[in-house]
Order: sequence, then C-alpha cells, then structure tokens
Amino acid sequence: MSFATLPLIIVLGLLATVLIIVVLLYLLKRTPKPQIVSNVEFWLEAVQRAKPRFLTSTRIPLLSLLFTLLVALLLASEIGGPRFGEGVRGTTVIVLSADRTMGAEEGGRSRLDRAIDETRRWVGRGTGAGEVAVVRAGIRPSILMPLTDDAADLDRALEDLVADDGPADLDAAVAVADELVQRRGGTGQILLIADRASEARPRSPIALVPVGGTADSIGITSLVARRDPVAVGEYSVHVEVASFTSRSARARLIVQDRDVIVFDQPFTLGAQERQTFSAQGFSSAQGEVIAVLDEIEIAGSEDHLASDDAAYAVAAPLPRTKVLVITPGEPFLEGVLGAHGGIDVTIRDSVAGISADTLAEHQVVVFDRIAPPEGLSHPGVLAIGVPGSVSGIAHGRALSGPRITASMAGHDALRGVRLDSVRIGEAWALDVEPTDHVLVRAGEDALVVARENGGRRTVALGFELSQTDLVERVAFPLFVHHTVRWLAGFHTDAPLASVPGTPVVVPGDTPVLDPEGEPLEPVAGIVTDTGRAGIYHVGERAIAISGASVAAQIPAPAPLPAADTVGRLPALTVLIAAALLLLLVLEWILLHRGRLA
Amino acid sequence: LSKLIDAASRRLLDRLRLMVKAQATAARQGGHRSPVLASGLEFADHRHYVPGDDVRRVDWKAFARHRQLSIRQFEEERDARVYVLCDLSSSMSRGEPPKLDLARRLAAAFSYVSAKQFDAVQVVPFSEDAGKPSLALRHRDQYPEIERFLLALEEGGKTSFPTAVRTLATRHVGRGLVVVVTDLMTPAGWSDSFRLLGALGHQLTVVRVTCTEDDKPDFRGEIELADAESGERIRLRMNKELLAAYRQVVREHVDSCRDAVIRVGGRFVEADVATPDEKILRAAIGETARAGLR
Repeated sequence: MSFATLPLIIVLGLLATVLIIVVLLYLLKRTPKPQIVSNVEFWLEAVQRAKPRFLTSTRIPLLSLLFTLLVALLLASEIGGPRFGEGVRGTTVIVLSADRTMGAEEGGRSRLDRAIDETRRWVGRGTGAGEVAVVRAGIRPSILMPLTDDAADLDRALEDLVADDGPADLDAAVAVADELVQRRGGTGQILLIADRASEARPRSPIALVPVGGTADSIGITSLVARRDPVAVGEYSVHVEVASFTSRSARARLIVQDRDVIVFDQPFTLGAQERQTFSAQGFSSAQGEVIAVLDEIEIAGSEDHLASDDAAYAVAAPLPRTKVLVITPGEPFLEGVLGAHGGIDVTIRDSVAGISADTLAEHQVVVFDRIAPPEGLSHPGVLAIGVPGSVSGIAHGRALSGPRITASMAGHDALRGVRLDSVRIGEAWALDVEPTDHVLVRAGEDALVVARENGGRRTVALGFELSQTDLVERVAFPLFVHHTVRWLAGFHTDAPLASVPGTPVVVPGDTPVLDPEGEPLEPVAGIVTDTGRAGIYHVGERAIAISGASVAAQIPAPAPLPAADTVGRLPALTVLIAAALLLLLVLEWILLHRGRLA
Repeated sequence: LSKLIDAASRRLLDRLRLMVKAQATAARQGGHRSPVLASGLEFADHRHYVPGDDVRRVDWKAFARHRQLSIRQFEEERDARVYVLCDLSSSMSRGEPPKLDLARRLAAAFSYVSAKQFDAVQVVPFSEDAGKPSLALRHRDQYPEIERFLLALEEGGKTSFPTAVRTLATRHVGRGLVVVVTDLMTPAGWSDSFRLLGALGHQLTVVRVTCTEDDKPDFRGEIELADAESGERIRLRMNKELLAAYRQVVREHVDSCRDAVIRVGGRFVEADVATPDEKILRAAIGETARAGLR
C-alpha cells in the first residue's frame, strides 16, 4: 500500500481520521474518575498552593497529546510510503546480487546470507508502505519475487537461492528493477544489495546496501586443456593460479581427468603473485579436466571464496575425419595422413568411378596433381599441384624457384605453421579473388590460397609436393593436419571453457545433464541454466563451464558516499515506537513522581 | 439494648465522668460546683458582714471568737447543661464507615454520661443551621429517647456552624458544656464561632470526626472531585505536590480550629472513623473530664 497511489483528498481524509481517533483516545484517556469529597474548597486552596509545579503537570497531558498526534502522523506517513532519510516512497524493487563473490564466507556466513537478511529486512519495511519486488542479479537478471505487498512471498522466493559461479550483470538487473518501478508510475526506489556498486544510472532513485568486508582469496585464473598437435591423443594442461591477497599463501594444485590425477603439486604464492603450471594428459576420447586448489593456507587469514578454487576444462576428443586422397602416388602425403589417429584415409589413384555419393562419404577430398571430375564439387577440397582450375582457383603463370616472401600463419588452415623457409622448384601462380586468403606468397604471386565461399572451403597449392622440400620438414604434417581439420570444418581443437551462464545449444532431443548429473530442460533448443561451474554433458559431448577466466579480487565494499548508501538506521517504525515508549515512561514518571519509590 | 453504644462502651462510660467547669454550670442545683457562693451545703469561706446581708448567714460562733460580724459563705452545687452539637452536613456521609455513624455514637456517649450524672443534655443537630434539638434529658433512664433521636437524624445540606451557634445562643441562654461533634470540613467560620461560644460562658469540647479521605487522600490520575455538600465539581490531575498541598491546607485549618478551641479553654479531640470506639471515647470524654478538673 502506498499513499502515493491515492488521491490527495483520500490521503487527507485518512489523516483526518487518524487525528480524530487520536484525539478521541486522548479524551477517553483524560475522562476523569469521579470522586466525592467532603469539601472541594480545600482542594482549590491546595491547587493554588501547588500551582507552580502543578501547572507543569497539567500541561503534560497536552504535550502528550501533541506528541501522540505527531507520532500518529509519523506512523501514518511511514505506512504511507515516505522513506526515512530518503524522501522517496512507493514501489521498492530490491536488486539482490548473486554474483560469484557473494559466495565469499566471512565469519561463517556468506555474503549472500547477509544479503538475504538485508532483503528480508527491507522487504518487511517495504511491504508496509507499498509493493516490493526482488530482482536476482545473477549472470542474467531474473525476477525472484514479483511485485507484492505480502512479505511472506519472500520465503518462497528465497528457497534454495545460491550465488552464481560467474559475474553478475548488475547493470542489467538494475535496468529490470528500473523498468518495474517505472511501470508502477515511477514512484519508488531501487535498493541494490550487493558487495559492489552498479554503474547503471536508472531513472528511479537507487541506493546501495553494501554487504561484505575485506576478503582474501587465491584462485585458479586459467585452465586450458589443448590437444598436442604432435603427440596424437595427448593433451597438455596449463593452469594459472593467482593470489588475491596481500598475504603469502600456499596450497596444493590437483588436476584430474575424471578420476585420474594427472598433476598434484604444492606451491607457494606471494602477495598478488601469479604462477602457471603445465601437465600432460592422455585421452583418445575427450578429456574432462578438473583443477582444484586444496589445503589452502593464507598467512593470518583464510580463503574466503571457494568458487574460484576449482576450474574446469575439456580436452576436445580426437575428431574422426574421413579423407579421400586421389593421387597418382605421393608417399609423404599418404604417410602424413595415415599417421594421424583421427584421420581415416581412402586413397584412389584416379577419379574413375568417383561419384557424388563417394565424395559425400568423405569430409575432405585431396586432389594431388589430378583434376576433379567434371560436374562434381565438394565442400572441403585440398588441391595440390592440380593443373587447370579447382573450385574456381585457376593456375596462372608458371614460376620457377619462387622465393616465399610471406605466409599467413594466423590462418586456421596453418595455425601457426610458418612456411617462410620452404624451398620450391617449379610452381604456378594462383589466380586469387579479393575474398581469398593467400596463405603463402612469393612476391606478388600466390602459391597457396584458401578460399571459403558459401560454406565450401578450398585450399590450393600452386606446386607439386615433389617440387618442394616441405615434405621433409616438421611443418609438413602440421600443415596437412591443420589444413584437413580446417577443410573439415573444425576451427579449433582446444575449445576454451565457457564462462558460467553461457548458453548451450542442444541439437535435437539430445539429453543435457548438469555437473551433478541432473537433467536440464532446454528451451527452444538452448539451455541457459548454466550458472554453476562444472562439466555439462550434451549427449556424449562434454562442455566445460568454468569461472576461472573471471576470477579476480573479491570486492570489499568500502564505506560509500552517503548519497549512494541507504542509512543503516533501524526502521522508522521502530524508532517511533521506541520514542513513544520513552514518552509514555516519561509521562508516567512525571505525573506520578514520588510514587515510584 | 443500645444500637449506638455497645456493652463494652457502656461499661467504659459507666466509669467515666463528664466534668464541667464551675462557670459553665446552670442556676439550678445539681452535681457541679457553682461559682456563686450562696446557700449551698459545702462551706466555702467567711467575709465581713455588710448591711443588707441575710442575718441568717451571720456566723455567730465566729463573732464569739473574733467579735466581728462575718458571713458564712457556702458553695452552691448546680447541675450542668450539656449541648451536644452534632454535625449533619452532607460531608459527614463520607468515610468508611461514614463519619456520621461515629458522630452519632459520640453524641450518644456524651448524652449517656451526662444523663448518668443528672446533667441536662440536649442533642442539637446542625448543618446549615441548628436543627430541632432533642428533649433535654436529666436521667439515664431517658437515654433511649436520645438514641432514637440520634438514629432518626439524616445528613444533608451544607455546614454553617456560625449560623448554628447564633441559633444556639438565641435558643439556649443558659451556660453549659457545648460538645461539637463535627468534621470541620468547611474552611471558614469555625474559629469565630468557637470564640463566641467561649464568650457566652460555655465550656467547649470539639471532637473532630475524620477519615482518611479527608486527611490523607490517596487519589491518583485524572479525577473529577465533587463537593458532597454543594455539588461543585472540579477536575484535577493528582500528583504528589497537590496531595501534599491539600494535606497541608487541611492540617492548617484543623490546627487553627484547635488553637481557637484551646484559647477559649476548650478541649480539642480528633477521632478517626477507623479508630476503635473505646479509644475514641476514652480520649474524648476522658480529656473532657480532665479539663473539667482544672
């Protein structure tokens, strides 16, 4: 309820009613007890004698009436909405932060617990003066409790409330709260209960109720599991730990692939220091890597935040790529492709009998010096020294001993492989279009070109493998493997873990399990309930959701400017009740002075 | 059987004697010494004969011894008039038990003792004026008449003791013992009236009948006081100061009355309704007896 929503005439009428009630109560209180006495003249004489002090007492009831009226008006105003010291009234929308740092425990209670206490207190106050809503400021804002004037709704809303493992989007939550206030006519306020302020500047007045104090922590700031490009089936793990305290700390880093410990090492961190650790793992399938900090000791303090003590990553499974090689015979090429555990190679020596169906069975087709059959096309083609034109990439003028002047190592088809020192005998300059990527260039001439057009990828080499020493270099298998993977549509073999809250796309009816193995229900093929860090499973595919990349210093809400902070004084109702009680006691003492003994 | 005097009180009263000063005795012979040296039975003194004296009172035996004519003087014993003025104003209805109950018993006691010693006693009720008095009694056997009279009295009206005293002086010219049984709960008129009674030659005994409500009220909070006699109402919020001031006012009033009574040679006794009758009677009548002996 709020007076702000009532017409002025009704507000005045209510106030008049309150005043009348108070005056009636006062008169009732002052209705004297009748007493017959022998003679009132003695009393009149006594009144004259006691006049100086007696007048004081006779005026006290009037003062009491005035105070009572004042108290009644204040109570009515309090119920009506105005906020003590705030000057705002009406709808109150509480933004309750569920940031990862709200899980920090101080004194045995988490910041979220304290924030919930504050929420209950403010909901109790707010529902007395109007409607209150609670917006959960997590990774994505959500309305925890719709606008209501029943404080009991909060208990249901706060059931099982936990902090997310990712950073909260306070600004978005404040925007939601602002929208709620504005939809109620714009009379109201936003209370942000969090351990940090919001940068948002809503139209409604906003005040911060800070929770939390100084907190120390060490955490995992990075966890990457990457397939070893050389050692097929192996992967390497890189872990970075950081100290978010001015104190020295030590702990034990344990890295596991499911139940297999692949790394276990104690370490010591100085103040604000970072360290990296590397480990090797083996898994032909996908690796589900968990890094945990254990036995944490911080000098003179403790680790307040547990959520940054674990990180998750997935070592991508070895993809099975079917490759059709049409070649008159190239042992290096055949050897390199055959050596890769993730590549199934089919070798043909001519295009005879090659149909569209045959091509469709393979993800990549390699034409070595043999032109593709007329009328057939494939989305992934590697053309090596093919005369004429492949996928529109035609041979230009002939080159003799071209000197490589540049290579695009950053392209996904090369992925860091540099071919600058490769020597080439006879070659052809390739005709390129503006949208082509020239992977290897000899002056103005393109020797290796990557084209991506309408979902079709083509890599063309303007030379035969017999005309280059590339096949003898370590870079050759890397070049071939990376190129095949790019042509097959794989961009990266080491997907980084997603931050909590990242939506997971679910193909079809594939079941989705959360880190605890509980099924999740996709909405329109997307699972958004990924606020908890851990390994999610979409069918057979594992997806790491980790907060390591967002681990940072725990904010310690310092005393904020008064304008940004809601007064921590008790509710005005409590103050008024205390004042009223004190007033009654004073009145009683004054009026019955001497009878207390 | 008496409704006003129980057996214990009667036994006490039988042992008490109401003493009246000589100057307050009546002309009629009775049990009290008179200031007039006349033809009584008890020798008082001799004096020189002067022409005109009754020669029958010449002491011839003294003339034989001293050769001077002298007259024998005898004290004359006279009976005493006792007027019991009983306050019937409405304020006498206050108290628990009502002050009037005690006043009736006191009046009955004074009457009983007076009648016992053959004094002429009359009960004179008063409020705004002196009311119709009872018959003058001279014998104990007549006491029931007094008791019936007292029991028939009803309180009512304001207190106007000066008016009552003037009426008394007009109706009863003879001197005597005036016993005033009242609560004195009217601020004015008492002292002058007591002086007037003294000036008229009456011996004065004032018994103030009181109660806690009059002397030490314990009112609290907001109270509307109503005057039992006038009906006047005032609204007061009680506090310690007001109660103390009231007690002081009443005390000063009572003390002024006491002083006035004492100045005319009278006695002043206070009797609380909560005090046992025997104690009150012993104090009221006993005090009177001692006063009469002086």
